[in-house]
Amino acid sequence: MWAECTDRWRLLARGGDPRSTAERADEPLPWHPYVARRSEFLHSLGPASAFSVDGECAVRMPRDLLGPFPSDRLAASVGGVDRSGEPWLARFRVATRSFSPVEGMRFLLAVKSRDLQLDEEPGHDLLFWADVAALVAERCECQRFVPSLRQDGDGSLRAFWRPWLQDEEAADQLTMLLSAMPPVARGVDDDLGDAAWPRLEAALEAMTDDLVRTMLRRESFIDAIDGRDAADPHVLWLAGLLDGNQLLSVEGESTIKVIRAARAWISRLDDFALGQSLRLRLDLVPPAIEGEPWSLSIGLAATDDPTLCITAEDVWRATPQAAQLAGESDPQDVLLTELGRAAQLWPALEPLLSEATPSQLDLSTTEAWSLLGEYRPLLEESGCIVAVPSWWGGQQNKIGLRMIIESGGLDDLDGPPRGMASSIRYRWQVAVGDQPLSLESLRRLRDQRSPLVQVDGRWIEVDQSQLAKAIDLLERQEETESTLLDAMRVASEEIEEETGLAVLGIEADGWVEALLNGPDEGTVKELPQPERLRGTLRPYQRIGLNWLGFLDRCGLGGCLADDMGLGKTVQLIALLQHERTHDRTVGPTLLVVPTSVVGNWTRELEHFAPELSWHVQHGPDRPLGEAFRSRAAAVDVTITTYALVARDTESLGGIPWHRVVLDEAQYIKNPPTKQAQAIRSINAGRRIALTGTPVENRLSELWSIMEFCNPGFLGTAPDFRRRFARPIERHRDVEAASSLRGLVQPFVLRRLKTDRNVIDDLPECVETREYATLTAEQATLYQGVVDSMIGQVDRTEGIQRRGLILAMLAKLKQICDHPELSAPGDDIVTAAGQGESLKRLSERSGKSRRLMTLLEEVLATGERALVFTQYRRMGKLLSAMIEHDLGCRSLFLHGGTPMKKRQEMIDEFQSPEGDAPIFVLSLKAGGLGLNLTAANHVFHFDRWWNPAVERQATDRAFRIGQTRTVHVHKFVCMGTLEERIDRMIEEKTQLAEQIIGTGDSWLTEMDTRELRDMLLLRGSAMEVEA
Amino acid sequence: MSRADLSSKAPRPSRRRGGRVRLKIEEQQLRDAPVSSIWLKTIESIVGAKSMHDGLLAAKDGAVRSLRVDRGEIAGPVQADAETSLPVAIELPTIDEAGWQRLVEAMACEAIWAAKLLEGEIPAGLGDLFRGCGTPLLPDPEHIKTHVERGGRRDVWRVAALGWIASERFFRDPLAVLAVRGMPCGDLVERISHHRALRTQGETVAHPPVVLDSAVASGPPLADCLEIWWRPHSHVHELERASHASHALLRRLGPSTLEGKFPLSGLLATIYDEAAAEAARLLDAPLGDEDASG
Repeated sequence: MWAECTDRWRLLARGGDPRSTAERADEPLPWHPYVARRSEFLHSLGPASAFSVDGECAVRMPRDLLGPFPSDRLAASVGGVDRSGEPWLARFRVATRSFSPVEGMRFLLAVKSRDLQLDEEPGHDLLFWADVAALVAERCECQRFVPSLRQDGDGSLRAFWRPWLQDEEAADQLTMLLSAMPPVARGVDDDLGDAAWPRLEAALEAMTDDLVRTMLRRESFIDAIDGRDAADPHVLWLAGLLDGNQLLSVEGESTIKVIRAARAWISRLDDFALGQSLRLRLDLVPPAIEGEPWSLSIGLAATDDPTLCITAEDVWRATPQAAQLAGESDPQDVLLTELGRAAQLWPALEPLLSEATPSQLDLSTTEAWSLLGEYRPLLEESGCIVAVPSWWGGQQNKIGLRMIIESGGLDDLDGPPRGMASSIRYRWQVAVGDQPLSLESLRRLRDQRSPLVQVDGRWIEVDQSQLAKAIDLLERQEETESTLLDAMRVASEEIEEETGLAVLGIEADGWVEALLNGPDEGTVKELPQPERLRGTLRPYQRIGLNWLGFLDRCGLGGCLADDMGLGKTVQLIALLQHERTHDRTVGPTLLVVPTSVVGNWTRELEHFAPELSWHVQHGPDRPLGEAFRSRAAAVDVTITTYALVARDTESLGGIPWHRVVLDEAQYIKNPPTKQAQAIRSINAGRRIALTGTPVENRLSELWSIMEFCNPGFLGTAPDFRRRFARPIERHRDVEAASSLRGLVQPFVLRRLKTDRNVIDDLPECVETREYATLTAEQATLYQGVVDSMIGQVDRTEGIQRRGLILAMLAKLKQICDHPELSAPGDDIVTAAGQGESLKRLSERSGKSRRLMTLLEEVLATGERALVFTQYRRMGKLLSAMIEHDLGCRSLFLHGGTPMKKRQEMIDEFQSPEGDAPIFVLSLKAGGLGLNLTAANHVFHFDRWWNPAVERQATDRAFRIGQTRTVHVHKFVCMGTLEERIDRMIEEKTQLAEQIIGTGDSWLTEMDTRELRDMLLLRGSAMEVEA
Repeated sequence: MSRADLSSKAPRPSRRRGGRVRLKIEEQQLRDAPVSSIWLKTIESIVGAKSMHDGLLAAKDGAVRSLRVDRGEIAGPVQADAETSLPVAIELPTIDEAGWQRLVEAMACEAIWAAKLLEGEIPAGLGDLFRGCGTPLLPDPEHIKTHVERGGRRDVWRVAALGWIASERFFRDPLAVLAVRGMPCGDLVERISHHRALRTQGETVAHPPVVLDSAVASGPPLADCLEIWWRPHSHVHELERASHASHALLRRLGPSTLEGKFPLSGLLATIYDEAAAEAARLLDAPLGDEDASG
């Protein structure tokens, strides 16, 4: 795994081109100039660092005349690096840290599962090796590994554990991994060479061996052969497998005998029909009448297309179909050979071998069941095709449980709502699918003592021990009093662990029924739109308000996960207003938001609910302790940021909040972070999470959000990973997915823009202001320009004055876009981050940070976006940020783009197969004449102050051919000239009339006082460093 | 009996009952074939020309009841009278391990040896190769012992008759001589390929190789990847996992073929269970339950 240091890049950058110091002539193998030193990456290894040792190795890296290339991540984070001449591969020396394979796996899997938070950005190679580690652990978990032996060049014999990679499943995984392997992963200059497979195989083997061996050593498995005959080949082999020493005490001819015998044994795992055109096919058919035998017919099927098959009768009668399918093979030989092999695995087939022309076998129900449950997978992975009845394995054909909950009406609840701690009563019903089974029926099934029985014409699988537990459950038929949380936990996990019976569903009455049915079923009480709300809620927003109000009444937490643009903010504001309609004493709400949207919230509160009072808890002068408590108690809403929650735990924790709301709740998707833990620890009666992307990448993100909303509901994180995340993510486990959906559905309301109900509600074009703050760097630059130029403006007149004003305006607008634009020239790298650590490009601008958050949501929903800017350099920076922060390719069209290339870009963006979902365009080059209807989001990153020009740009997406609602996001930097001009246009002032159509020139006519007032940096502009 | 009397006379075979082996191939053909010719010369130098001739006649007449070719011994009953036969054996010393090792090393140097052996042919120059390694393909006559149970010097023709029948076996299956000398051909081929694997790859393994598309296995040349050095060529996506029965591999392996007495499969079953649980723990909570629970 490659690690490099951005600080070193910056330090070197001060002395000229960072790559010029790459090597010294007197060093035969130069140190790589910006590879991370051990001390710089050691802490990132987490617990693995304690087990690691220092070293160094030679690597090959691409370079050009200036020196070695920085990684793509580093290059993207600094906005691109210049090249000089043709690149080539050069050797460098680098410091290394090595650790045991199993510690490496621990580290990689922790990064993959986000249990370990890296301060650094993980490179593609780290993520690749994490996938390799996951493959190894998966293979071991499903027992796909074997003991093996290796004879080294010196003749010594070593025992080791190795993943079994000879099945089709592994072949697909290996091909995918090899295809994905980043070249840097092959860059180490060692004995494994350049090829991808030897390096991957070495890693797979080392990880598997260490994982198994570490467990064996810890559990002292070596004791099992203590005192046994050391010459016994089994003992000999085990001695090398069970402990740290892999070497076998064997020499000469015995070495060959042992390895030959081991090879012969392992070769039994070879696919029966590997390389053959035909495979044995077994067809199991249930009897029409229960009690009669099952029929197993044999035949052959084409390996390439198993649907092409012939029966054994065809084979023995040598029909033309048999000859056609068999080709050059002798189908009779193949059938007998394969049947013989299959009988070795499943002895029930042996009677067929004593027949002259075997074709069909009668099976007892027990034999049929053992084929279905036990032997079918074995036969299939040995190359047979086993066709079984389609109902086999389905949840509808197994006995399960249904939980019946009695909860009473909401009005029956005494005292304040207790949410998940509310008392309910439940009992169990045993059922097959939707059909309940009486105790009497269950007893009859028990008496039949058959693993497969017919109930009302339907075959069902009966596990006798499960059946006994189901009978016991019904015989006790206790009605249990419990909290809702405990009942849900029992239903989701505990009862299945106790009885082995899956929970097929939950039925309820009262308020729990309303909860389970969701807001669309009419069981949730309808709330009127708050009178004071300045605006009208759309029908789906009314449903959202009803749902939020219902959860609120029950004291339950929920996640409003509507698509971006559907108005989550206004739904929450409506809830705040609604609860104050009837109860003025309602407690304060704490709103935790990303720093970049603090301004958005204050603007939205002012816009929709000016009567609500709010306080922004941010900045170095924020009140703490008692001062904060009295401030928070005096307002309806306190807004704070994620970063501050962990720091102000004491102050925030001292207030009995009526509610905590997380906006962009995906910010707590990493459960172990202090921030997430601090947020979960806040004392609040109600919890709401707002997010457009409840699951961006992994299901663990959903766990984090639900853990915030209803603590303990989905169990611990490892439990959740075991029960849901891994089965669903890795194995597409439909039952686990259905179970999880059933669990979280009552607490998550998600509407998509593509929902029929929502589409009918939405206008064709939705325009939103996206308010951003300036970063400290931007604010300093902004204020500096105003201070230095306003005096000059005052001292000049006429054309010179107008020129100065226009130059100043351009500078200020560029600073609002990104501080990098204020740097002279095009050399982004040398200007970056003087005097401080090199930050991510997007972090240096409030607008770009906000844009990245919004684009992330666009990508998460599989949509496409246009981003317009006036400045070509800004477009270049945006492209770099999109690639770096979002890991996706973007297109950038500007005035210098050749006509042919321009059309290629448009075609690619419009093509459903295109892999660049974001199109950055300069306003002048892309504002007219293009048809870009693949996008349904348009971002105006900076403003032209001319609605007509912006509308023309918007029309690239909002035009004939567009079938979806187009969302237009106009960026405004708060407290700057951007906000003041935007407001003037909004309010249609007389001045605004002058503005429209004149670009910036109208500002040149202002006197100095007006100009200063227009440009002055207001307090709200700056993002205060917390 | 050793070094039989060359002048003894072979009686005419009388009526025989039961199975018998008749020499069917022409004498000249046998004397021209690579292994048979050496074999016949060796036997002739032991029994003498006269007995060799008598043995030929007896072999053609079916005096040899059966032939057994084993490691270090060629044996079979040869007719005594109408009712009985005498067990006859020709004992040849086997090549020791050091000798075979030298031969394997020599044969591993050129692929032609293993290739010819795999085709069931005696490679030209095999005798020279054996001799060059200090181990002739057939031992010198003085190292061969012959034995006729209850027989005397006059029974030496019986050794010759058995020798003629054995020569016919070597004519049909010249590689059988390797088994007589201590290593069946299949084993020799495997040792050669094993040795070649060690020479070329530095190692050999007990598990089968993974068969992959060669272009995928090697990956594009690194020199062609300079512009995409840090990027994955494609994305890794989650694959649906097939369901596997518990201990599926172990059950498909069946009882070990290593001929050990320790109950290997039982211990492996426990190891599979424990390792699976260990892997599950690692996947669920790589840093341990406490660190991961949030």
